[in-house]
Amino acid sequence: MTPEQTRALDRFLADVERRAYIMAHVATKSREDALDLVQDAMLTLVQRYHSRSEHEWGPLFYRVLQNKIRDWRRRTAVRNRWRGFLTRWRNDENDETDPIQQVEDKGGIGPEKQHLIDQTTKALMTALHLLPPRQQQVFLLRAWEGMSVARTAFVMQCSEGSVKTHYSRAIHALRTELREYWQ
Amino acid sequence: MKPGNKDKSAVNKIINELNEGVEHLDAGVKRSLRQARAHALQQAGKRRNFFSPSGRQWVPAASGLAALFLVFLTVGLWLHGSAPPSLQTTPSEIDYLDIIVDGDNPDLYQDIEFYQWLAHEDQSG
Repeated sequence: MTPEQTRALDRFLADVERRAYIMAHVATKSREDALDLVQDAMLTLVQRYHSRSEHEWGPLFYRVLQNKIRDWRRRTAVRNRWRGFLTRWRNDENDETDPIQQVEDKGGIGPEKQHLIDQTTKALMTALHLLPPRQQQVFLLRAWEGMSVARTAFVMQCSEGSVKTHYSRAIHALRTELREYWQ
Repeated sequence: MKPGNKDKSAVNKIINELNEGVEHLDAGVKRSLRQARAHALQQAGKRRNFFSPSGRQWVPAASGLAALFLVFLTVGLWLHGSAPPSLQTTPSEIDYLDIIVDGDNPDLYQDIEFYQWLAHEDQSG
């Protein structure tokens, strides 16, 4: 890998890493797992695809990340079979590392408004967490990353029709879940 | 299904929240991400090309394996290439075999052969 490639990759990864982390965190609800997934995705991209043109790195990186998230889900599903429902529930409740909840000082917002914002944030994130995995990721890729249907289909490794269906269902579920905020 | 205005507004709200989350990630996560990036780039730099001079550590092992293979091949060919001992024997060999198996004295049989020849010479002479 040439120094120029290394610098370009560094720039690219610096640009996407935080958003990738949030996506992984929405999927895993775990700070450590999300960091591991992003690191693995970075490593795979650098090792396998560094020679590809820069404009390909985006879709490839998110595709790798989605594969990592899928593998993580499989592993977690197997692990959870051996754990009880209560354990899982407790872990979810005790997860205090939600990046959205760790928003820093908002610059003089009063405690009441801050509480309202926190409530809204929590509700939005909860609604996202509650979405089925593929709907969740399609929603993030389409709405947040602004990817086209075709590119989302490439990243998710599914048909464009499936992307449209997942996105539509995600919007419907969010609308239902966030009735009071959906205005 | 295209989202309506209400949907767009709500989706924008979610996106804003997500962007806020990106902007205000805690320092520990930011540091971990920087380390992860540096680690990935470092690993890629360390990775050797299989055929590059620095990556040719496999050559001695491969040479050893090739030599071992040649030895096995040679021994195998030698064992299977040489003709197996023939099971067909001439009658005289059978005779001698019988003599040996029976434990008789071969000199006695050679003497008999001599006397047979002598008798035949006398008759003809």
